[in-house]
Amino acid sequence: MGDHEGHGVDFEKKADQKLSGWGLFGNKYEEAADLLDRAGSFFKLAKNWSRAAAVYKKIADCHLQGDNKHDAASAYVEAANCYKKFSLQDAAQALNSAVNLFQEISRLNMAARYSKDIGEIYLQEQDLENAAVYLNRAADLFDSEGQSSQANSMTQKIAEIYAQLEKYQKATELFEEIARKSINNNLLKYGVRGTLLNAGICQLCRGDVVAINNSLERYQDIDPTFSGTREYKLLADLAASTDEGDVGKFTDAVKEFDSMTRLDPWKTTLLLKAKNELKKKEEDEDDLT
Amino acid sequence: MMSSSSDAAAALELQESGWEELRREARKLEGDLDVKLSSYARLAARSSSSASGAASPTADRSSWKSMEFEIQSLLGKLQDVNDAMSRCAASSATTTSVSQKLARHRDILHEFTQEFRRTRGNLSSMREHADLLNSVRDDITESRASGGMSPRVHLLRERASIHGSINQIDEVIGQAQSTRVALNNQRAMFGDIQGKVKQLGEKFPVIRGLLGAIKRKKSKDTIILSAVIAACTIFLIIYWLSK
Repeated sequence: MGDHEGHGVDFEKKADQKLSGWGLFGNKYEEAADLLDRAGSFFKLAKNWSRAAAVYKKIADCHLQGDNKHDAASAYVEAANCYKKFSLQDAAQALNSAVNLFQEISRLNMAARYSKDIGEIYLQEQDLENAAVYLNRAADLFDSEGQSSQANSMTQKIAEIYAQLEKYQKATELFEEIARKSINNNLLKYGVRGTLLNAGICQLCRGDVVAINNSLERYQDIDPTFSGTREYKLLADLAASTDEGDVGKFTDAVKEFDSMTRLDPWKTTLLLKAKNELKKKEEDEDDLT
Repeated sequence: MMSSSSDAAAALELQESGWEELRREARKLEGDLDVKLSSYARLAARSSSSASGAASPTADRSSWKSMEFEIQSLLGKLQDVNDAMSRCAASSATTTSVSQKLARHRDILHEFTQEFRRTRGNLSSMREHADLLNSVRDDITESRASGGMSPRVHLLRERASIHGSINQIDEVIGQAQSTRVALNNQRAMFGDIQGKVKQLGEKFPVIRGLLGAIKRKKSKDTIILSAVIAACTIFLIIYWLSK
């Protein structure tokens, strides 16, 4: 077990000598990168993740000096895999470098995939702003490569993040866009009512009753069968109770829906915000009277 | 020489004792964290069972909050101790066992952090769910209608499970769509590759001509070399005969 670390250190020293030496015969960057790659493998075997990640970043620098962007990007991806063991922030930065390089060499599919990975890392770290930025980037890249299914799933995640960040207008627009795209697909159209429910909940959080009712009419245009669903009934009841300022009616409608279909944590959080807003408004009215 | 070597030995012993103290403190903190995380998870399970009946939410909430703060402060302390251990190891010559122990402690901290985050997420979603559905009127209605609910409850549960299955099927269909699009792209790519191979085959006459030219040049070089050698040999023979 101790041999792995020692071997790694030896290879790293050889690579450093190669880099500091004169590049008369052959390409010194290529040879140094090979030696560093073996050093990185040994550090991985020794489970010294920080050392391995540093070595892979050195490999990326070597390839950049040798003007080999694809291998540099791959080295950054390897570095990110090592960083994931102990520092998610550094992993995200390494993947960001890889994404930039893949975009430069027009490998948009790879750039999209790793951009999605960055977004998921930031989601784990509860950094919603950065997660939205990178997932947006991934969705754009997937869309430009013609992968609409992947782009739709990215857009769904982005919309959920915007709702958590209280950017309800943008979240509503994204959900409606997803619903419009899905309704044309024979396989995905049965999930449209869930998407429209999410959009309606975002509208409720904005607290604009006229906009809610206009949205309900627009959703019937998007999906003609929506008016017969329980999701539509829930949204209509919630809109009515918001209009009347009745917290009890709001709670009854949510409770009835939840008894049939349990609400997921995202919906629970947003509906709780809407209910608290309604309660606050009711108390204000009581104070006025 | 003797004083400098004794000073070095003293410094080394100081570093070793510091390292051992840090390790002991790290192990103690890890033990405390393990106990606290277990009780936190048990509290979450208990609140999950009691969430159906809204019994004394305020007391439960305050105990949740205090336990959360305790665990967070312990995680912060453990992070500080790990950083100190890293600095201590970096200052002295790192042996393999030291780096392995460091990696082990780092893994443990990472694991505890993930577990705490997961449990806290579960707790907060349960709490929000209870808050959303709880109100005074609901208590009255629930107490009224507590009698003949049995068959309806069974039907509702069955309906909920069917709905869950439908949602999972939707997700699987979405994934299948994505896979199908990727496979179509791969097929198009292979079609392009086939076209490129045909183009390469059409270039074979050019390659054949190139090979022919190389062959001719090589034979020309051979002929020239042979001629030069023959000329020199003949010249030497004539010179020898004339002498």
